[in-house]
Amino acid sequence: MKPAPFTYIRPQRIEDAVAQLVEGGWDAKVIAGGQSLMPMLNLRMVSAERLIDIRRIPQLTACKDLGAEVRIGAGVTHARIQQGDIPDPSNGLMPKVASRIAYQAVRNRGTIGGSLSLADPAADWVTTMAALGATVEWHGEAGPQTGPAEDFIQAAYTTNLGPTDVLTAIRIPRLPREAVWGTYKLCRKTGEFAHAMAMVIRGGVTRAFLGATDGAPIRLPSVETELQRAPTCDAGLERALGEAMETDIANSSRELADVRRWQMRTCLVRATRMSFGIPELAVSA
Amino acid sequence: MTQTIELTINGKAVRAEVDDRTTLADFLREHADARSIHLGCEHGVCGACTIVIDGAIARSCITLAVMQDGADIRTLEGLGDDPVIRQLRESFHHNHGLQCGYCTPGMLITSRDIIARYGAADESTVRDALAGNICRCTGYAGIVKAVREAAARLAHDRSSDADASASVVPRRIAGSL
Amino acid sequence: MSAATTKKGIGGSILRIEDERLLKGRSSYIADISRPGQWEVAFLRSPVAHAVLRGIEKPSGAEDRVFLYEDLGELLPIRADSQAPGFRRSDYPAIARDKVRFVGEPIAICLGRTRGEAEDLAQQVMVDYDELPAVSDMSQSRDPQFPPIHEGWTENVFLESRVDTGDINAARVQAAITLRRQYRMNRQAIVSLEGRGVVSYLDERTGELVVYSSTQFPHVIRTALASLLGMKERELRVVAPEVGGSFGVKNNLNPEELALAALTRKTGLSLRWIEDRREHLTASAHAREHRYDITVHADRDGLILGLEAEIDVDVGAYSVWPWTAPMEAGQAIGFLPGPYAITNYRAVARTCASNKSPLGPYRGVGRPGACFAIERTIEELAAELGIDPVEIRARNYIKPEQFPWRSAGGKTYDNGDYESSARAAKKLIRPERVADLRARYKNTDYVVGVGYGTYLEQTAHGTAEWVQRGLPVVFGYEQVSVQMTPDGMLIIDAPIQNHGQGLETTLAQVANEELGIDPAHVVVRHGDTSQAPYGMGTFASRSMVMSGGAVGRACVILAEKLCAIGAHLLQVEPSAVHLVDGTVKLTGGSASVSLAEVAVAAYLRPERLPDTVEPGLSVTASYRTSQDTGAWSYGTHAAIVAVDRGTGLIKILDYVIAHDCGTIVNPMIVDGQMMGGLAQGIGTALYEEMPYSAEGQPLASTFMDYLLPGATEVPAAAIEHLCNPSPITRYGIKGMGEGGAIPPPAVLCNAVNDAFRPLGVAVNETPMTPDRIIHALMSAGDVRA
Repeated sequence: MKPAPFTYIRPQRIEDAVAQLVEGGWDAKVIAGGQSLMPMLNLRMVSAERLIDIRRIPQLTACKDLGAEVRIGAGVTHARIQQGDIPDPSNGLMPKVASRIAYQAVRNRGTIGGSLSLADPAADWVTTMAALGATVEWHGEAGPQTGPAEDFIQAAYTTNLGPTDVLTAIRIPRLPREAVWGTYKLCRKTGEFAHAMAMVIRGGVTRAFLGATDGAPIRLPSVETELQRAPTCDAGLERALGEAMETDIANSSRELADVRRWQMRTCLVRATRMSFGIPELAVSA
Repeated sequence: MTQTIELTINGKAVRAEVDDRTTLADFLREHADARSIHLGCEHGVCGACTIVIDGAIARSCITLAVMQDGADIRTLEGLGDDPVIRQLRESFHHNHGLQCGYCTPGMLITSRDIIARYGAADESTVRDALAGNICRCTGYAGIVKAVREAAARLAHDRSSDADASASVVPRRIAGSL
Repeated sequence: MSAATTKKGIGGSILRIEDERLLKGRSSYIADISRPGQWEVAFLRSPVAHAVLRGIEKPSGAEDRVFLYEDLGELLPIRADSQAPGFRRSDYPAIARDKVRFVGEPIAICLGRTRGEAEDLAQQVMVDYDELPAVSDMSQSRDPQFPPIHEGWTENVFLESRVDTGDINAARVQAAITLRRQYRMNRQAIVSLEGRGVVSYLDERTGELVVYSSTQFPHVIRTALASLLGMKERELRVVAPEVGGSFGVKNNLNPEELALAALTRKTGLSLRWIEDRREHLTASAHAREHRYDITVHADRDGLILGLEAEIDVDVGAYSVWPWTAPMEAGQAIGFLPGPYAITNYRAVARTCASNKSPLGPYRGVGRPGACFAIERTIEELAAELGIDPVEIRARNYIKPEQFPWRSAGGKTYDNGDYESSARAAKKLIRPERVADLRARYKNTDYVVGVGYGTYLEQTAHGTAEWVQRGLPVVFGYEQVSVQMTPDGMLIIDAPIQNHGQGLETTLAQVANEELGIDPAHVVVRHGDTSQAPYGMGTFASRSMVMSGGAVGRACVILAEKLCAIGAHLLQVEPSAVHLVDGTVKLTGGSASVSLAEVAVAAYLRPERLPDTVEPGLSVTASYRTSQDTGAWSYGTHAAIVAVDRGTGLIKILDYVIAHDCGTIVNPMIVDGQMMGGLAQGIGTALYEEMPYSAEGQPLASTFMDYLLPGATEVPAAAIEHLCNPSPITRYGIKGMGEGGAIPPPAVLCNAVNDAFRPLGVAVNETPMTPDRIIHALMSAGDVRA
């Protein structure tokens, strides 16, 4: 399982990376952490004649706290977010999510930008950035562009990025001080990709999303309505959440199999409980 | 398509010409005789190829040699005098933490990182942190015991020894699991 | 887990001799073996499940680096024929000749200076496939709509075999209750962490064709290669280097071994093939694809009056050598009665062919499926009758005084106390906790259950048993050579192949037991057909008994000579001395000579020898068990699980093991084998599956899809050792390497069913994935509150 031959190029600036993509066409690929792309190259599931390494471009690893929002370079690793090395606008949600991505060795090199660009629906940042209402920035032949993270992914592995675009940064609005969150994902074993996921944010803002779908995360407006008016998390709320979720899925015209909807509902209820500070049930003998 | 790279491998400055597509794992095995690196999957899941790059553990099978120009690489061959590895070896030996040996180098390197990050952590934390290293032989029982014993011994030694840890040991992180 | 003990012979948990090199990461696995001028090999493998090969075109300019079947010289296909009447034969070519029969079957050998270059070349080979319908499920094996997989076959079934013991009709009539259930254990891969690999070259000094292979049985491979290549055995040398786990996947003659050996013999080229993970998952031997339709007849007290079974096993496209395709089903039908005194038994087992990777032995070999079927059935019976699951087993177990027991499946069990193991397991698991746990989690998503599983493990079986199985090779004995060197240390040359079991340590412990020599002064060499005398290799949990027995015998013979020489040096009679702590010592006195002094006399100063003793200190000895029918380890496992009805995930809250493997040589190593087996059993029960599409495409070709248990999926288990020494082996040892992997699917499925019974839900398929659990809940009308 060795990659097919390619030429490796390490540009110093974003503009040079874009120029390489323009020159290389479909056979040019950008690599940063390589934690997703290298397996695919090794498996020859993806081919590249030109591999453009953007990992060390300084503007991609820079972070800036702009007060009302934080701007994170696309090349920031999951580990840096996990470890609190960068400013956190999310009241702890982002470090928590980062700490549950794959394994430490992968977190040390994988990047948030790489994860968003690949747009595997199960990737944690895909749902988290949508939930936080982030804005994605990218740079291409047409110069710098931005767009909401919530609309960034069209379908599995398909984003607003064109073939010569490079994702450069993510701007995340700072959550209100009183905002709380909950997140829950179903993994069959530690570190593997999620099969179902839910994320809720309440208090000042209310946002609820399902992740690990067949494509983009699904926003849940009826669920948000229930969350806004619920003072506590009780059986009544949990029942209402389930029904609201079904309404939102039906309205989204997205396909989710019965089993998956069952599991998504579980994730939504448990994410909601977490947001209310209810500790997850620890089952033991 | 070849390039010249310069990097540090186990403390030694190395200059080599490599094919662009050569993975770091293959380069280190062939060029630096770092045969403690074992290939179990070549797609970043099993952890048998785990080494230290610039002080952080990483999968050598899913990065390229050319991407590591300027990097500081440590494999198990270069950690023989590391006090954490020495203690881990002793603990793995006493607690039957290995059988066929194929996962062992990656396990040792990850375990060293676990001790640096979490200190003398509880069993559940240790197991969670070992999730990225597959063992097919031991059922993990001996490995978990070994890591916890080593962490406890090192914590005890550290509290009775004022010297700071060697610079290659990553800094302690407050538990974030 | 115990630390080092002072006892260094049988029974001591001495630390492993193997560890030092492995903890440094410095040994030679197959990927570390390299020859000057060697070519790296990539196989072009079939992307389709069933096709006629109409034409193969080598890329122009690279014709001398691509080799097809006709380029390999004279060789025969692998043919693993069962002696059973009605067996249909398959010819398994080293690489495909005119047809491909499973995705991943090798078609061409491509060479490159690096593996990457070899893979580039493989992608350029053009093959014209005339695709045929593929049998992708065993239900299609008898369907005439599907073409025969092998020429001349009238249906895609290798063999149908039957057992009819006792009087099943009487059982049917007398039964107060009859239950019928279906069970399914899905196909999986074996996944040693190190894949397979072969290095082949011509040794110009010796004239040997040298084949390094990550294998479990080098001598047997040598015999097979010699036979298929038309060579003399002395012209071949097979070496197994350090082996990174195997569990059976390296226990077949692989077509890749034959292909590389043939190509090196023909061309003189030095070659190396290192299996990658995708090859391993798709094209190495798979395991465990069984289906059972069980009918049990019992009286109102739960005593089983009769057992009926239809067993179907999907063994893929070829019969693997030397086991033969029907061995898996043969194990299932033979072991189904299990530890129970069932005398009325009627069963049919069908070994179905399909266009999938051939099935091979994997830790437990057929018994995990049989155990799953019988242990699920007995708990179904218990539930139906309202009898405690341990009590119902106790009523049915073979009693200690009934051994040796000739089972309805045709096996002879040597001894056992199954009820003690079950009661010990029950005591460890404390099932009374379940009621409290159910109360604790009453208004949550979690349901709790307890399950048990009793297993049998036939180990170190000898000649008659292998003959009964109808294999082309019979593995009835082991040989070993021991030699003392002039410095008084011992070299053991053993034809076993250590691949994680610690045999370099435990065989040294046997030497200590007989010679009093420090195990640190004993080296066990293995894996090289040039060094060790002929032997069968390491598999079927045989090495500790067989090689341990041979080491024991050889050392006893050596001990006699050591005492004769030592006594002479001490100027006493041989009967006046004994061996202890590396010396020959005067019994009841203090005078002694070291083994080194004895060895010097034997090799360097023969004038010091008694007249009756020849120089030299080497012995070759063989060993067979006193009965051929196997030494039977057994045990009962138990688990408490919590099933999360919200996600379908199963959490193991507690897992216990009460087992008996007779005399234990190294308790630390035995615990390690048990835990490792348990982890693989959990893999079978909950995680591991190799599904195939309707077109015969394997669907889990990477570790993204094929899930292995990690440290958070395998609990720490309590292990209790019972000890009833085997009456048929030296020291009373029984093998035990596979037992850990046999019952977990039964145990965990029983626990899940215990948890689900109040909901009216049943689960009878492995792996018990979250989706299958939710489906089961949904089909029983479980509605989310």
